Amino acid sequence: MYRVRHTDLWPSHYNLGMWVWLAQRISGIVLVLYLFTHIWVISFSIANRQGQEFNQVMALFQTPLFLSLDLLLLAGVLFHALNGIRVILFDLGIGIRQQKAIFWGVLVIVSAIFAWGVSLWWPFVQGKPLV
Amino acid sequence: MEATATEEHLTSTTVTEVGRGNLVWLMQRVSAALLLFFLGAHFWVLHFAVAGEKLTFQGVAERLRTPLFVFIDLALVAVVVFHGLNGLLVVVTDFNLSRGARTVVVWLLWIVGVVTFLYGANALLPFMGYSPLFTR
Repeated sequence: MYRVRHTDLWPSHYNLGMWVWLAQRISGIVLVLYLFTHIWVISFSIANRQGQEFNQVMALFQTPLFLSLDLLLLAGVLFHALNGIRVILFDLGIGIRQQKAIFWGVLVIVSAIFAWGVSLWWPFVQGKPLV
Repeated sequence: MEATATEEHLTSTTVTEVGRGNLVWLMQRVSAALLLFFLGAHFWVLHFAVAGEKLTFQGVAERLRTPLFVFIDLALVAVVVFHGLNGLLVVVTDFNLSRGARTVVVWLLWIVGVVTFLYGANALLPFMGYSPLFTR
């Protein structure tokens, strides 16, 4: 019998690269679930051209629950996108030996853009959009 | 001779399958690169360009008067739906489904993808000067 427990594929044997691979998968699946909800909700709300429904939906999305989820979404998209660039670099034969260092670079860039996003998001939490 | 025939058979099957797999693999990369642009534009325009701007229907309708934005939205929906569903197929493939089960999954994903794209396109119709084909 094939004992996956004794191979690198078992989580307690994972190296950094495997964890990042798993994180790319999980973030991808979560983003797909979000994506289809997003497309369906927005399309439903916008198809009547009057716009009350869209504005109601947007008001709902500015409640604390949805605002917190927005941060999760931003983090997930940034990680999946920037790590995706890292994967494509490897496909092009670039930086495979530096994969760990490049991952930390990805995290730095993700954190920087995330911090910027938080600064734009904060006024909504206070209930005072700037514009 | 028989061995050669078997070998040829194996080789040709393998090459065909790898060839199709490579194309799908490449399309996942190409759609990823396109998404960096389209989704980057989506986030930038809606959330970053005007700091702290509140999203309203009026603002969205104003923007969609420019055909370029309608085109970008349509392209974004098509590309993101492909990338997302093909990504799911990649995950599913790693569970070693039987050929028949995989075919069912592929068909389901196609149906979900096409229906979702039509929904997105339908919502954009009013901004292109047409009535939506269906509303809730």
